Amino acid sequence: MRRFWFPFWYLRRGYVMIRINGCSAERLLSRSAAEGILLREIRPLPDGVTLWVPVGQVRPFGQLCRRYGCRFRLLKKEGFPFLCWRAARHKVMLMGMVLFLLAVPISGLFVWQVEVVGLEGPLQAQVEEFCSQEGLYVGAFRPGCDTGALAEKLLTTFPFLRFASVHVQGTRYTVEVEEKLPEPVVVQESEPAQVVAKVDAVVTEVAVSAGTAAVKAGDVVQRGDMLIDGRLTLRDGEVPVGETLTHAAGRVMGRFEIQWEKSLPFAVEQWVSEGKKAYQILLETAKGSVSFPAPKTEQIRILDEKQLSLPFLTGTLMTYEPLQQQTVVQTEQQLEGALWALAQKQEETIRQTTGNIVNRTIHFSPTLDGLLLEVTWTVEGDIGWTEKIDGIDGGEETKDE
Amino acid sequence: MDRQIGRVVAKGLSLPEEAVLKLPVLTLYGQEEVVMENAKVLLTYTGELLRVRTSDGILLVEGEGLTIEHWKEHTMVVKGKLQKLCWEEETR
Repeated sequence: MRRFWFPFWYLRRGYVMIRINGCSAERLLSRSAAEGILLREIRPLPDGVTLWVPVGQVRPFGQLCRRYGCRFRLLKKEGFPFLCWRAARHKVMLMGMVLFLLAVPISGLFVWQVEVVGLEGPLQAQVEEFCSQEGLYVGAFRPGCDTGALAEKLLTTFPFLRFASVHVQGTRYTVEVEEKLPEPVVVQESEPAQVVAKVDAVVTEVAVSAGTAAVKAGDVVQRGDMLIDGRLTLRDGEVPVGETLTHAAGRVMGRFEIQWEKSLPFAVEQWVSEGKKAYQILLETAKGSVSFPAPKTEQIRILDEKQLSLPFLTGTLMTYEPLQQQTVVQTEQQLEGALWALAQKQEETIRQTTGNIVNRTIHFSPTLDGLLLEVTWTVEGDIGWTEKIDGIDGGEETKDE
Repeated sequence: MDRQIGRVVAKGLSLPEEAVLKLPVLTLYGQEEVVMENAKVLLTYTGELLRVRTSDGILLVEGEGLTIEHWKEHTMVVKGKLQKLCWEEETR
């Protein structure tokens, strides 16, 4: 690092390379150094020496040369002052350099990228448009963008948002929003309702307790398709005389697929014990709690806590292990095992909440830095969802009645 | 005599002796660089030999491709392949 920066530091002043001959160079150099002239890179030649002298000290050095009867010749000029002088003769190049140097800090004053995260489709476009109306758009002047006020305005303008925040990372602005979850609509049993499919599935069993079955076992249904109709046709014998609405109910079982994927990297940061024990005393005083000594590591694992009986004080002696962060590289087998454990946990959740698992397909594939597990479960469970006949606001899951 | 007084002063005031007495200080960085403080006069300078007068006598630096990288006032930095550093026997 030092070697890299030193030339730049030196060259800010400008140096001249001088060749001296025709005298005792040693005497001249000793005198020059004693007078405070900085001499650099003195290299011996058969009939003299070459050296670098700062541009500001060339004149006193020249006077000393004359006093000692030395001949000196300027060989090279280097450094920032000479660069500027040379550049001044090439006006276009100089202008280009100045423009470039100015462009870098100026370009940082403007917004280069705006991203809305958390929404999709037309809602995202709506938020993007609102942001640009409020002054957050690509090319906007950054000091004029009040991110806090924009986040508040987003929340007040869009009632469907429950969270809004604007992050700034250099010239990149990320608008992070979260949509409110629809409140569950409880369909009263007295209200007319129908049962619709909540997933794409193959119907395996239909048991209707109220309403008319719209599907039969073996039918392929898509999400939203009617399963049990709440409209009942009134008949007089065989002749339909009218229609009435009822709260459709029943159990419609179906077979459907659930896909799940998870990837893990081979290298992971883990907090590992150093194998040492450390102690910390925590004292509760009238003014608050005091603890000492502070742990030297960021993470610790508490091993034991003992109550201390001290006069006028209550305290705890904590025994802990300091933890150190280490990068642990796992083998493919270990990673497969970890992914499989996660998949089994997911499978258990499905079994408890969704239905019986009748089949599963597993596929491991390598990623750039790890392993990806894709699992498809074929599940047999209740696929019905009660919905008001006059609305599509969602509803409650059908229950066995 | 001056030196003895300097030593007493340095000891009394807890100052480093080399600063008070202007003794030569040599710092070696491997076989490639030597920094000489309190170097007074350069007597001989070739690519293989460097003779420098200090307050303690003449210091000889022998090596290959010796160059004075930096010299200002009494601090000199010599680079090259250093082979020998010694004091020259001087007739006063």
